[in-house]
Parts: sequence; structure tokens; C-alpha cells
Amino acid sequence: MRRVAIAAAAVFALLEVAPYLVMLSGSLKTLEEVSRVPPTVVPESAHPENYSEVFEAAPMARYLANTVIVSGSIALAQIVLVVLAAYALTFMRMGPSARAVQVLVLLCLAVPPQVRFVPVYLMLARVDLVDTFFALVAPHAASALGILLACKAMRALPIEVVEAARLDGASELAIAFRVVAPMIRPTLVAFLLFSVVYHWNDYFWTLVMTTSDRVRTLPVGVALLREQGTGVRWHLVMAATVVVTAPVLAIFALTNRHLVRAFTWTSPR
Amino acid sequence: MSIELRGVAKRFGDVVALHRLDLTVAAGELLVLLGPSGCGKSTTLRIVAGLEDPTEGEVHIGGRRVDTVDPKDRDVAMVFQGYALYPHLSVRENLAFPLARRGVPRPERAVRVTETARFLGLEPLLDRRPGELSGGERQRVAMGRALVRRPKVFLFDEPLSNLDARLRVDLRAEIARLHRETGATSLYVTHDQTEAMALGDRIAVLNAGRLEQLATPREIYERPRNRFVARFVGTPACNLLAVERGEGVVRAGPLVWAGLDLPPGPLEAGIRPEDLSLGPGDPGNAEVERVELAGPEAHVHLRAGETTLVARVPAATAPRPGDRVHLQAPADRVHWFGDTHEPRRAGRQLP
Repeated sequence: MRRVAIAAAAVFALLEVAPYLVMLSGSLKTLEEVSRVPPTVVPESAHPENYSEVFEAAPMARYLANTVIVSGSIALAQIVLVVLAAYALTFMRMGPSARAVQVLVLLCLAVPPQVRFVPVYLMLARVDLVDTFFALVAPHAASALGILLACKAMRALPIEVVEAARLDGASELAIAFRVVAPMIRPTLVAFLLFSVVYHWNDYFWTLVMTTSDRVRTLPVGVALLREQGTGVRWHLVMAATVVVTAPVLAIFALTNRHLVRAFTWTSPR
Repeated sequence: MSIELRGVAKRFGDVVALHRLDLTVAAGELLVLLGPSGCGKSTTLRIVAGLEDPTEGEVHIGGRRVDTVDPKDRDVAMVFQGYALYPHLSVRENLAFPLARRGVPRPERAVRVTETARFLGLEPLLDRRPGELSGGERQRVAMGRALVRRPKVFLFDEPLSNLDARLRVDLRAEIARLHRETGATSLYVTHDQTEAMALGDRIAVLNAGRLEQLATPREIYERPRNRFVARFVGTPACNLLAVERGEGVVRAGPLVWAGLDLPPGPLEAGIRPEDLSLGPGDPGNAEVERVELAGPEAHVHLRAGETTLVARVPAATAPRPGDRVHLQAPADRVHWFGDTHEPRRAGRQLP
């Protein structure tokens, strides 16, 4: 039974990893080899110069910096707003309106983002904000999912701690960020990771909202790479894709422990 | 600094947690709010702290009206039942937190944290986090966090309830010392009458949102104002027996007194277990059902017809289950309770 389970896990892991291996091996091949049928598993000879070629073929460094700026700003804005909103909903005396606001937040989750794209685009276009960082960050600054997750984590905290902080002379702002936020850190870290990964990889909104390399991010940049010149240069696309995914994989590898803990977290008492 | 509640009432929707309560805690006094759960004692404390707003009435601390003042501006410190320490901060940081929030400069913070830690014996724990401390240690840190600010008023909300019996006694002594040495006015909430007796300069007994009696521990025990106070304070609880009047005699269960001058109306006799004396009796007037040993004393559960009573006697002289005994209680030790809240005093006992 144990062996079957391990074998099943191995097959599953291989299936998960296979596309990454294809990507990695493809990024080191020549255009001729990467297009060959049947494909080779290990490159006949390694061509790391593909990577430098990618950085020459497109302003990859610029895209990378933009991606860091955009996904970092979104994450920061989200964490600040999530903590503030969830704190207010959980610990401040708002009466019945708190419930109404919470339902409203929940409803935000029910509306698919695609529905919002057009009106948000039109609004931003009217005020001439298309092709700016603001247009990439602001629509994502408030996260309904994050607020609900944080509310759930905060409700599990002993309210006495918040009351103690009030008596200790802390302002509500200080309580939210110095007392409550650290206590729900595992939830915030997990949310932060998902947010960063989601917005790092986000393609559609950036595609709609950007018209120049000034603010364009990596996923869109890689897609543009495909459309340059004559035919798709797959070996370069693969190398560029490695550049896009490597940081995300590194983040996951480094924070693996936090992620596991976030899902097995119980409140401190 | 005195604490004064004037006609303070609290309603949660239709539920009345507190009926117009008037209560004054003198400066430097330790007043215990005692009562069963749901009696309004914690609500009272939270209203003084500012964590709840009173529905009616006024709260004054040191002569200043504070019921519209933010909790942080009332100069009160509170020790919570669940400790309420900041789990992500070390003991040192927990102690420094209220000082930092109040803008005390860093060097002074360090001095006061050290002082407080020394006072409570917390020095070896300063760099640990609350998660690494035992319950007793955590509560000492919580007391330290209250103390470090040198507030004029201390509020204790069942601070010992989560601790085991032995630690409770230790920390009780610690709280008594803290109160003695700081001289701060203290309001202490508990449902444990032993704790109330041991700590309080005065005790306010609350029941269902009303003040039943406010007096010194001794007076509460020896002259309970009504049935509730008599039953709630004292272990085993006070015996309560319906009184019947006969020709020149008064009966309560198996007990009979002659020549008593009692006020009219239905009465109940309240008799403390230690005021019952057990003489040899065959047939006697009661039978021993069960004997519980409690160290040097024994609690003797008795039955006389439909009536059950508890007596407290020295363990050495305790009868055995099944024994017949002759029960007596001196009339001047009996509390007579009528319909009203006021106790009735028995008149002069005639020869």
C-alpha cells in the first residue's frame, strides 16, 4: 500500500515537473533542435547564450524591473488595506453595518474579474491613465479574498489582546499593525505569496493596460517575443519563460515552510 | 484615586446586564466584585475600563467623569483572565509596550521594565516569549504589564481562574503584595468566594445585575443581608430552612427554639454549617447520610425527614453514616430571612 502511494506520488510529481523540464531543456537548445520531431530530452549541446540573446532581443531587464514594481506595489497595497479593512470589520464597533460590509466584500468574490475589465478600463482611459503603473496597481489594491481570509484569522484571536492594547494606550492603527497583524502573520504571508505569484504571472490586465515597454511586465514581454521577426524563436521563448518563472519558483521554495504552516495554523492563546 | 459608579446600567438588547448600580471604591481600597457567572461583575469592570459604554449612569475616577473618555486616557490598567499578552513580543517587549505607546523615552522604559521585572521576579524570563511560559508566569507578566505604567487604578478580571489551585494561592499573595505596595485603588472581579474573602478590603456581592450586599468580608460572612449572599458565600453553603411557628416555639426542620420574638410573615432560617452542633441522640432528630473529610474538619450531610442539612465539625469528632444525632443551633447564630431583601434580626431570647 505504502509503495503504491509512493509510486502514485512519483508519477504525479513527474507530471507536474515535466513542463518545467521541457522549458529548461528547450531554453538551452538551438532553434533547430527545439523544433525537431521527435524532440530530444537532453540538449545535444548546451547554449546558455540563449539567455543573453533574450535580454538583447527584448528589454527584459526593464520588464523584470516593472514586474517587480507592479507585483510588489500590489502586494504592499493589498496587505495594508486587508489589515485595515479586516481589523475594522472584526474589532471596531460598527454595529450591524459591519455585517452588511462583509456581505458586500463576499459578493466581490462572486463577480468574475473579466466582468470588471471593460468598465475599469473605460474609467482609467477617460482619466488618461492607460499605460501607467497606477493603472496596473490600483485596480488590484483591494483584495476581497484577502479581507475575508484576514477576517477569519482575526476572529480566531482572543479579543482580550486587542482590549489590553487599547488600555495600554495604543491607537487603533497601532493595534492593527503592531499587535493584530503580527498575530495573523501566517495568514498574511500565505496571502502575500499567492498575491505576488498571481500578479507576477498576470497577463491579461497588463496586456490590456499597456501600450509601451515603459510599464510592460514580463508575461506580456515574453508573449511579444513570440511575435517578433519571422516565425517563433522557441528557444528564446523558453529562455524568457525561465526568466519569468524562476523567481516565483524560488519564492515558493524559500517560503514552503510558511505555506504549510499557514494551512495548519491555529490561533495563539 | 476613588472610583465611583452612579446609577450605572447596562443593557445588551433586551437583556439587562446591570440594573442601576451605585458603588464607590475608596482611594487605595481593594474592592472585590463577587458573584456567579452572568451576574454583571465583568460588565461592571469593563465599564470602568471603558471597554463597554454604560447604557445609563456615570463613571467617575478620581473625581473626574470618565464614561465618555477613551480607555487609554483613563489611567487604568487591567489584568485579564486569559492574560492577553502579545504573543509575538518577548516578555521585555510586552512590559515595554504600554510605555512605548505612551511615549516614554527609551532609557526610562528600560529602567522601569527592569524595576517591574525585579518586583515580580520576572528577570530570568525577560527574553522569552509568552508561548514559552507557564500559566502562572504568564499571569505574572500580565500583572507586570499593568504595573509598569504605574496607573492609579488596577482592574483585575478573574486573573486567577485559569490557574491550578496551588498557583492561585501563590499569585493571590502576589496580588495582595502588589496592592499593598503600590497603594493603587483596585477593583477585582471573581466568582471564587475564597479569593474574595482573602483579598478584599470590601466585597460587593452581585446577582443578576443587582448589588446584593456591600460590606467587609467578615460582615458578608457573619451578617449576610439576604438568602443569596448567605448561600453564595461560605463552603459548604449556608443551610436554609423554612420556619414554622408553633405554640411558643419556632421550628425549622429538626431544630426547635422556644421563646423567640420573631417578626411576622414567612421566614427562612439560615444556619452556617459550623453553627450546627451534633450531640449524641437516640432517637435524636437527624440521621447522618454522608461524611466528607476535608483535612482537619468534616462536612456531615444530614437528613431529618424531608430536610437535608450540612454541618461542619472537627474531623476527630465526626459521626459515621447511619448514626442518629441530636442537632442544635444557638438562636443568636441563626440568620432570619423574610420576603424582603433585608434580613430580620431575632429579638431578645427569653429564658
